[in-house]
Amino acid sequence: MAARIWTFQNQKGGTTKTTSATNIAACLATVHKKNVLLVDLDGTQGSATDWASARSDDAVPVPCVIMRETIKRDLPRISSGYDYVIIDGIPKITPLTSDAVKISDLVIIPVQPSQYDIWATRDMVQLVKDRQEVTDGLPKAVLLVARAIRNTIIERTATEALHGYELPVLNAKTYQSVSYTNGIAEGLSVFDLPAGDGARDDIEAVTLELLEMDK
Amino acid sequence: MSKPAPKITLDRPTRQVSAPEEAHLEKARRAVVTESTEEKQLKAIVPVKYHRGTNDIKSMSADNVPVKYLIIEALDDLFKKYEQGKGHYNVEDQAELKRRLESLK
Repeated sequence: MAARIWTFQNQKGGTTKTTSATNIAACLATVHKKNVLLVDLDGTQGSATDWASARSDDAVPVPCVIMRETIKRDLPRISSGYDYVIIDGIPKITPLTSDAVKISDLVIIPVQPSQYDIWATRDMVQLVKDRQEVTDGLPKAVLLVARAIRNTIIERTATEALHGYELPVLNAKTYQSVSYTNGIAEGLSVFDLPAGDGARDDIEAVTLELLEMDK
Repeated sequence: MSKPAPKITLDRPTRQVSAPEEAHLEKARRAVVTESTEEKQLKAIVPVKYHRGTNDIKSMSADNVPVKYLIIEALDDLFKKYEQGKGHYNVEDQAELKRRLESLK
């Protein structure tokens, strides 16, 4: 069976594309015991690649490859044997972004609940809708409210505003937390933290919702 | 004085809906709905009969179809042939060629 392909993409930097992609890849591998391949589309920055390289030999493996313009041609060949391919997208909209959208089963657009992020998301939403229009609604796409500050009015206001884009908005969100940043140098994910950690619970909830969407 | 309630809008004040797309965005939007993202010149010096023949088809077609589209039609037929292993020239790794040609669709 072909691997399911999930792409984290937003043209704005700092929306948690890499943090979300690496932690959800770790969740699929650790909690759901899936074979996961991480694809770093932003090889110049190479953050996902650095994270994967820093992982210890004992960690649950999440191999990472850098891919560019040949992704559409070569990904099917290298992804055989994997259950999921998680693509960490680039912070811009180019034909490479379009290729990632075209090969995906699910596009996740992380958005911070701020006015600047929401304005900057419009083009990415439009790009996905353009594709859905010519393919009967594929790939599925979803907005993920990321790095929110819990129980704030802006979190609720921004979430409501995002519904205006007429794409599904995940009920699960991720929240500002040092849990995401502390272990990056060692290639850790929130699943290396004790059970009950808030960030870990959030990523598990997001992953479950994505799995449900991608059925 | 209390803080103002947050307000979030979807539309950028500086970008009108009717404004033309920026070039990079236009290119990506075109690429996402088509299978080909860019065009490059395909150079080949071929016998004159092919020039005459394609020009004849062009001038006699109902829509005066450009020669470019005739060549694309011929190349599509060529790809189909090679995908099916029926090409004129021998291919050693037929499965890989088929996979590559299919990925262009």
